[in-house]
Amino acid sequence: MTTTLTAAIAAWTSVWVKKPKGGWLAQLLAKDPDDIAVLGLRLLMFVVLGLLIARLLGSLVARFAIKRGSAQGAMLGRRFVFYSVIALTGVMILEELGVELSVLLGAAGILTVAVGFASQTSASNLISGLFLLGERPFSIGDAIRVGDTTGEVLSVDLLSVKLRTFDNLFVRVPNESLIKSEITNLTRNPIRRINIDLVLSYDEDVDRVRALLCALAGEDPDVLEEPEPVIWVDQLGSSALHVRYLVWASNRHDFHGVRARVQEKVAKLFRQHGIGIGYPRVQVGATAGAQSEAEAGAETQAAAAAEASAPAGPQPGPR
Amino acid sequence: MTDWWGSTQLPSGATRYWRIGALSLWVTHLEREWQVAHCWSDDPFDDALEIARDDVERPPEQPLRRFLFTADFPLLRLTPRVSDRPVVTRPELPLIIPGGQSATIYMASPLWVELAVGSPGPAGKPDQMLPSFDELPVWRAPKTWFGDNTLDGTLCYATRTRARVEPGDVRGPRITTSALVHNDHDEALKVLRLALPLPQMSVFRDARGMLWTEATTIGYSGAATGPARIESVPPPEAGPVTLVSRSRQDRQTNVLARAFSAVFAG
Repeated sequence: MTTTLTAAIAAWTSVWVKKPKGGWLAQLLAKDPDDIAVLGLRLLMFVVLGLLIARLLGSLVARFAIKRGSAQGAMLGRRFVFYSVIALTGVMILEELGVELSVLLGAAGILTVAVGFASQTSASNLISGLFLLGERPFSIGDAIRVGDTTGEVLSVDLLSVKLRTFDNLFVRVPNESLIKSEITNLTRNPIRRINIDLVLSYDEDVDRVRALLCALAGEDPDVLEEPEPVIWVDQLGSSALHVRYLVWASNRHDFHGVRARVQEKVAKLFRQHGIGIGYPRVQVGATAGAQSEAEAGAETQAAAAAEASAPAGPQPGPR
Repeated sequence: MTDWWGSTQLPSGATRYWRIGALSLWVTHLEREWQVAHCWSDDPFDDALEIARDDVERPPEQPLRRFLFTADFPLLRLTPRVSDRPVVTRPELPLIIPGGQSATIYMASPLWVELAVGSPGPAGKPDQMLPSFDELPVWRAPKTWFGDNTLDGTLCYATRTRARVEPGDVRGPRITTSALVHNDHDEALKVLRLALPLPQMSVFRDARGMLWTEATTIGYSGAATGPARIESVPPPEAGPVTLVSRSRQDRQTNVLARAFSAVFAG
């Protein structure tokens, strides 16, 4: 068995290693390969191995990070490791090609100035992205509102943040605009208030409405007992009473469903108990002179109607 | 009091009905399938108890859930469990414990019913049950927030209690927890609400069929946080007890301390 194995290894080395000019593998592993094909193969090997190791290490780091932290941490860790290994591979390839890195870095300095002017937006996005990663106003999976866009965060990248809106649209928001604008994180806090603005008629008994709304909050198991519901008169409007009905619900379990349900129940409650909604009212006053003119006008119209309905008789004179 | 929990054999094609307080439960056994329908009455203090009746038909409009299994299991087991969140109990009237005094308060909390299927064990051996496939609260208790502010705290269930100072009979399918409160401070202590970390507690049955959790002890010495302790057994007033179901979570001192941190707030 051992003899067979030794013979097989000897045969393999004779074919692959002990080729003329030192053999392909020997050439491949040599310090200074003199064949362009060997060099190409060697560079390909670097690329393949670099990508493989980058992916492998990235996945390992992500798996470790997800056990200990958030999905965002895992994603950041994986990308950091991946791009670091890719950069190292790039450096090795350049060295292999005989490029002196010190010269390259010097050239890169001059190039950076030129490229910097050309790619100000990208650089700004990149730096904004770093600030966002440090500040962490939101994480992957959070629902945020930026300007007119509201959606779930899919990824936080160096140049942009990807969102999925609630109507399932993919939105890319550049980091620069995120840094400049106001961001509202809708799901950061565990509980959230439901604000319902009601408009009541001035004829309505506010105490009765308050009692009914309190009972309604107490009946729904998803409306929190504490913080307690608040019902206050917010504004004495010109034609109606503006009342705010504020109740709390969990921000983790179907917040929007609870809000819709509570609003529906309020509408049904008002209908059931005949609670008057305040409508804009305009009271029209009339002076005595104006009234007499109106009466005169009405009389003229009545006379005209009588004449028009008369089947026969003399035609009215010119008016 | 007859126990409503335990194992029952249900032939294929049969439907059985339980009324456990506010919860009405229909369970149907089909070939490799179990169907569950349920509804709740509006009364949180409903203490009705109807056990394993075959003559109550399931209303056709009742929504049904189907659970499918790889094999056919003839045995159904109902088990009382503690709730899946801590419970904040507010006495109907505030309790005041003068300085240097201590008092034991008995509180009733809603239960959950766990459903599991399995096969009867050989003679003298325990039944072979699968892990639970469904669980339902006996009463859908309202939720509440327990914490110092709206950022830090825990989402809990809220119940109101008479906060009895005698064990007495707890009506209906509820579980009793005793809290021994020591007021070691000079000033009177006003207890407005008590947070019980029920997921970390087990369920015990006493000789009369009443359900208990382990006893708790809370000390108050003027600081916001009172040292709280969950004992290993229900209070002595419960008499000899048997374990019915284990706790949902392991006991964690930090969680416990947080759950009790605002016990005396208000």
